[in-house]
Amino acid sequence: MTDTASAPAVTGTPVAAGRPARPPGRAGRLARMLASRLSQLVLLLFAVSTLLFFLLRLTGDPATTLAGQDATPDQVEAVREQYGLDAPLAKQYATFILRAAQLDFGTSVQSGANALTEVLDRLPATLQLALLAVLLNMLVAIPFGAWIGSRSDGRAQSIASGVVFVGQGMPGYVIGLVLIQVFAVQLGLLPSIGNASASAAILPAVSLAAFLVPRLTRVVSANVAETMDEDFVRTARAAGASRHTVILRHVLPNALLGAAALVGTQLAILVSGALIIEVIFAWPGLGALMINSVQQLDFPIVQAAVFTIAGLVFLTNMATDALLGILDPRLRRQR
Amino acid sequence: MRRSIAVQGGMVLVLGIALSACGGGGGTKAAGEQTLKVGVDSLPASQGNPFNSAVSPGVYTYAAIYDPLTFVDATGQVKPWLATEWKNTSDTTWNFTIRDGVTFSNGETLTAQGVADVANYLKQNPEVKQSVVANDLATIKSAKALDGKTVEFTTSVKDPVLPNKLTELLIPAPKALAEGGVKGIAAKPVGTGPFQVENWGGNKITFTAFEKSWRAPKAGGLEIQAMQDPASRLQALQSGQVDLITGVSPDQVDQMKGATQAEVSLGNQVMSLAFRTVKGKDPVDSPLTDKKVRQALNYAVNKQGIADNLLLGKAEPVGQGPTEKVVGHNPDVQAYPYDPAKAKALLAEAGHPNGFAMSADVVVGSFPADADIYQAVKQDLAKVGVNLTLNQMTFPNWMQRYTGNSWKTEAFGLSWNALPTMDPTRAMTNFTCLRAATFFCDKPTADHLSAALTNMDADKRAAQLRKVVAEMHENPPALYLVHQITIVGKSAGLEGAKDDNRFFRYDQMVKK
Repeated sequence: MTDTASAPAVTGTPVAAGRPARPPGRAGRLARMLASRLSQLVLLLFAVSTLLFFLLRLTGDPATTLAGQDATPDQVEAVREQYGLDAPLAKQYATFILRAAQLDFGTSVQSGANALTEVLDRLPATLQLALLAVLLNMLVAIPFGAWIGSRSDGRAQSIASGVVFVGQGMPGYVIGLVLIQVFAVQLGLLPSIGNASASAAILPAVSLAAFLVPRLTRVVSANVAETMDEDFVRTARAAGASRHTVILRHVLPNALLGAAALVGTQLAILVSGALIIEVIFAWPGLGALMINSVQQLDFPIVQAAVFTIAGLVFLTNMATDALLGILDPRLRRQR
Repeated sequence: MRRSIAVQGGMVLVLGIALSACGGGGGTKAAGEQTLKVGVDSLPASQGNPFNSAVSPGVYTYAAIYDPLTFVDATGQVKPWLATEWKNTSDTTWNFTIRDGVTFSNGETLTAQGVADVANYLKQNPEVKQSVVANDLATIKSAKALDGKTVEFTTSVKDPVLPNKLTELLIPAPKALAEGGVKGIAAKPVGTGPFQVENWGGNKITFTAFEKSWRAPKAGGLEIQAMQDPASRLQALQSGQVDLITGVSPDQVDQMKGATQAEVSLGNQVMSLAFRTVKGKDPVDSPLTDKKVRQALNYAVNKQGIADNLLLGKAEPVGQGPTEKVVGHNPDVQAYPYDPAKAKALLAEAGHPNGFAMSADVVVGSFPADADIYQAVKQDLAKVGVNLTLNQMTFPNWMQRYTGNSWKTEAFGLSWNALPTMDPTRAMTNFTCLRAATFFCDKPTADHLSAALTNMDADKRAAQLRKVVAEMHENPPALYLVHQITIVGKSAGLEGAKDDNRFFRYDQMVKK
C-alpha cells in the first residue's frame, strides 16, 4: 500500500472517515520530522539573532569608531545618521529582523561589502580546518581508544590512559604555539601562517585535533571496555574468534555508536569555536573575521557570522542525529 | 586495520612536510624576483578605502599602494611627495604644484585636476565626507586646478599647517574613484605607490610590483599578512616566513638575535592619563580640580623607572605633550622628577594628607607594555596614598565615552599623538576647553592655544605653542608619563626597512 492510499485525511473519503488513522508511512514521517526540524531552526535563528542584536548594542556605538578620535559630536551624529544608527532601537530591530528573514544583513560598516558574502567567503576555510581536525581526531582517537579499552587493566594502557587524562586539560593554543616553535621555527619543516599551501593546514589541524583526541579517546576506550564484558563478546571468543577479530568486528561497531555523537558535537564546536587557533595560525576563516568585527563593532558582519554559525551547528547536530539513526536501528524505532 | 590507519595518518603528515619542503627557499633571489613578506597586526578594516584611516595599522598597507601630496617624516620635516612645492597665497588659500610624470597603476596620469577632484570628492561625497580623514581635514573647503600642475586649496579658516595635514590625504586614481566610487576603490585600490594589489584575501594581500611607479620598487612582489597574535608574528619572523613584523612588544626583543633584529624607535606619541575636571562648563566633584593635586600625581610616578624597566631604557620621561621633533616642543620643560615626598606635601597642602581614591578608564594593547605601565602608575600612586582603580575597557567603549565625554572616572588613558602630521595642536586642543566635549579647561591656556592655531607665521606660532606647553606643564591637564617607543622586527637580511612615522618605504626594501 502506498503512502498516499493510506492517508485518509488527505483523500477525505467517507469510507476512510470511520476507520482509525493509520500511522504515516516513511515519507510522511520524514516530512513531519523535516517540518519539525525546520521550525526549530527558524526559532533558533530568530532567538539567536534577537539576542545578538541587543547584546551588540550594549557593547558600544560603531559611529564613534567610524568618525575617528578627533571627530566632533556633530560629526559623530552625522555618521550615526548615515548608518541608520540614530533611529529608535525598536525600529532598528524591526528593520534588522525583516532583512535577516531575507538573508540580508546589510553591508559591513568598515568595508562596505555585503556582510553575508564576506562571511560566506571565509566559511570554507573554517570548514576545511574543522573537517581536517575531526578526521585527524578520528584517525588517532579511535584506534588509540580501542587499544586502551581492549585491555583496560594493562600496564601500558593505564599509563596511556593517564596521559590522555592529563592531555584533556591542555589548551589547544598552547599546543599550537609549541608546534609552531618546533616544526616552523626550530626545524623549519612546516609553515605556520595562512592557508596558501596544503602543508599550511597541518599544524592548525593537529593543534585542534590535539584538543579533541583526549576526549574521543576516553569515550571510545570506556565504550570498548564496557562492550568487552558483554555476553556476545564472550560467545565470540568461545567460538574461537581471535581477540583482534572480536574487537574489530563486534566491539568497535558497538563502541563507536556513542563516539559518533561526540564527534558530531566536536565538529559543531569547531565550526563555532576554533577562533583562537585561527588567530594563532593566521588562518583566514570566520574566527579572525569575527574577532576583528567585534573589535570594530562591525554589527552586520557579526550578525551574519553568528547567524551562519548557528545554522551550521544546527545542521551538524541534525546530520549527527540522522547518522546515528542509520547506524543504530534501535534509535530509528524509538522515533 | 590499526596498522593501516597509522600508516595513513603518517602519510598525511609526511606528504605535508614534503610539500612544504618542496616550496622552500634556496638562495637569495635577484631583487626583482623577490617577494617581501610583512606581518602586521591587522589589515585595514575598510580594505582599500584610504579615507577611513590615516594611521596604523592601515598605513602599513596603504604605504605600498598610495601616496599623499606631502610626507611628514619622523623628524617633523614636511617633504615634497606627490606635490613638489607649495606656497601660502592668502590667509585661506594654498597652491600646491603637482609632481610631473606620475602615473597610477591603472594608467591614469596624476594631474592637478585629478588631485582637486579627489579632495572635493572627500569633502562632498556622502559616503566619505564624515570619514576619519575628512574630519581631520575639516578646514579644507574646496580645491580647484589652476592649471595642469597647480591645485589651489581653499580653507574655511586660517590653517597654517595644511601642508602637514595633507599627508593624510592619500590620492587614489581620480577616474577610478569617480567611476567606481569609494566602494570601487575599496575593493580594487588604485594608487601611485610601488605595488599594486593582485589579490585582497581574507587576511592576506598579495601585490605585484608597479614598475612604472614614480617610486618603483626593488622587489618584484609583496605580501602583507594579518597576524593578530604577537607570539605568532614573532615565530613567523624567526622561522623566515616573513621578513618584517610590526607591533613587537618589549619582552620579545631579547628573543631576536642573529637572523632577526628588533628596531626600536621613539614613536612621537606621549602616553598620559588625562585628568577629568570639568564636564562641559561645569566642574566635576573631584580632588583633581585642584592644581596641586594634579602636580602631586605627576611627582608621585617614577617615569624613569617605567622607561628603564618596562620600555628597554629607550623611552623618555616627559612633562609635556609635544615630543622633541614636534613643533611647539619646549626644551625648557622637563619631566616632573620622581619625588614622593613632594607629592605628599602637595597633597597635604591641598587638604588630602591621607590621599584619596580615584579611578581611570584605560585601554591596553595600544602601546608597548601599556598594561604594565598602568600597573606601575597604580603602585607609585599608592605609595603617596592615592588609591587608583584601573578600569580596562575595549577601544570602542573608550571611544564612546571619549566622544560623548561620558566618563564616570576621574581620569582616563589618552595619548598626545602628533602622528602623522607631527603637529601637536590637535592633541593639545583635546586637553583644553577648545574641545567640544570638554574634560579639562584652563581658559587662559585655551585662549593662548586658540591664537596659535591660526597664526600663519611659523616662528611666532611655534613660540606661542611653547608658551602653551609651559602653561600645560605648570597646570597639568594630565599625568604625563613617557614618550613611547615603536618596535618592529625584521630579518637581518632585509635592507631599507625604515619605519618613518609608520610609513614603510616598501620601494626601498630588498633582501640581501
